[in-house]
Amino acid sequence: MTVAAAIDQMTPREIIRRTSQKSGQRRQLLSNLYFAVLTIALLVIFIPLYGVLSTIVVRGYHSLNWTFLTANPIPPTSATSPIGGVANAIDGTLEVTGIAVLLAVPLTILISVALFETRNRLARIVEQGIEIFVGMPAITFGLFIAAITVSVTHKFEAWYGSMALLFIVVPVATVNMIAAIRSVPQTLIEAGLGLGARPSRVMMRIILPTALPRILTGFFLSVSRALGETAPVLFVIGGVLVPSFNPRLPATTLPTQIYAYFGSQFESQVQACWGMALLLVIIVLFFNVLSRIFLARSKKANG
Amino acid sequence: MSLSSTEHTEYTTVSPNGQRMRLDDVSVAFAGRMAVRNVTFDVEPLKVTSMIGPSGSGKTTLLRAMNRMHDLTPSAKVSGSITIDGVDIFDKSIRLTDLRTRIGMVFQRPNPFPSMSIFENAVAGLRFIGVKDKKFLAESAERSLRAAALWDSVKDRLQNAAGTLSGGEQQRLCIARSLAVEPEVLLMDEPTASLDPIATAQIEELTQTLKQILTIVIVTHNMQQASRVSDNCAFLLMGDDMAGELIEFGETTKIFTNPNDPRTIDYIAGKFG
Repeated sequence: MTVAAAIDQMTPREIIRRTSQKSGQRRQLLSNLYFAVLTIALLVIFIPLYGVLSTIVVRGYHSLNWTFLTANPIPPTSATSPIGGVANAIDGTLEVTGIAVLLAVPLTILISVALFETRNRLARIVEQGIEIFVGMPAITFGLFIAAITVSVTHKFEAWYGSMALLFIVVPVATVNMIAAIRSVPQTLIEAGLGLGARPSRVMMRIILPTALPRILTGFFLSVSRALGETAPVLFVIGGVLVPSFNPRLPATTLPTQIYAYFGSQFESQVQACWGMALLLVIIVLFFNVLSRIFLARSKKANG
Repeated sequence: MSLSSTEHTEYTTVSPNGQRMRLDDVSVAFAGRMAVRNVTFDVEPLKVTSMIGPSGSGKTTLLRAMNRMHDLTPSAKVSGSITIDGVDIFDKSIRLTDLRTRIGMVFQRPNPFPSMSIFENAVAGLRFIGVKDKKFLAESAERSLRAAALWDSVKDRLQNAAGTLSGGEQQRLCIARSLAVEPEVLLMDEPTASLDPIATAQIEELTQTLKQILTIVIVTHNMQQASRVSDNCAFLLMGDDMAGELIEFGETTKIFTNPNDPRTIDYIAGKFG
């Protein structure tokens, strides 16, 4: 009996069961295939991530001690002479990034809220401009800031670096924040207005608190990026061997110190780069954990 | 209505202050396209008025005109007159924020503020208008949560997130939130559309207690609900040009038992919609 004839003699139910059985085998096969592909993808992601982190930790952890954190660098004269610590770079990083963040937070909030509330063509153009900034090479900001500061004043100052970092932090944080406040359901906004709230109160009491987790994530991402940037600050902050604690004076940041040390002829200075890299990772991690704790607290406080 | 707590002696009931609303030749258009046309009827004080009709007949559009929610949509145009206690709601002397505390709104899906606790949700409207007195806030929260039949089940967990409540509880919290600013009219836009039968019955029961203290306008797809809860009923239908029209308005018992218009008879009998 031919297959066609066999099928002819089957009841509709038999045909459905048979088809289901056959396609079921195929689905199982596909399922296994997808699982294998995803496992490989996971490994492809995990191996480099693990490689980067483990290398930094393994190579850097010897360097992390009290002297490294609190002493100033000593220019080495021989392979065994002491190189001191990186207190200058820690101070510089906190100064340059700190000022950038302090200015970026209000700026980002203002721009985001203004763009959210304004629905005209100009606002759309500005928004697209900001999105373009997100993808711009960081060194262009460094050059631009250098051209309008150092080239004019003939001095290096830490806060010039903060200005350059603003071009990194503000666009990333703004794009994230606009997305965050746009994700707040319209029905919550209407509920607020329906209770007699002014639009400004709806923004302050409903939209911003509801979007807070995503807004913070955006800030955190942008600050993490700024912490590691070398190019924008390289031309404008100069370099120091002692912390200045003064934004009007030159500074060294961890990335610029790494940049300076890595080409050194002394192995001790190259080694210190790993310590500084680990320090950067720890600082980023610290802010990450801090923002999460803050979030959990604010959630608890709000119920 | 004063915000000073000393003037209140009875904290457990919201004071009765239901107002009459009057819709006169009201039309709403979006971007020049008519959505609902020439509607005229009276919303009697301290009664429940329902709006029924198939999808697209303009019930919700009309309801949202009553607290000027269409102000949010630049392309929307409301014409005709809507009055509360004889005053046109579009009158320049009326501030939008005041109007919306007088005419509250409950939405189709429960929408408590997720960033706030149960307590903060209940007093959100008071906070929005600037009330700071802690005692007054606490009393208002209890008063409105009691009025929304929610107090007993949430009094021990007022600081929990509003999202921890069930759907029906969330909707009652939204009603409490509206009651806290002591509105004179409560607009309900299919308030039970997303709720199970038990939660629906609780909300329906609640409308019957609430109409003792305020005026209710309720939009519903559920005709049984309209017949159970409302005193007056407006039946709307989409016209040939897709704009909603008022077919018939009257006492609910009359609309459901002896309507004038054959289209009302057909709709009530379930012939369409």
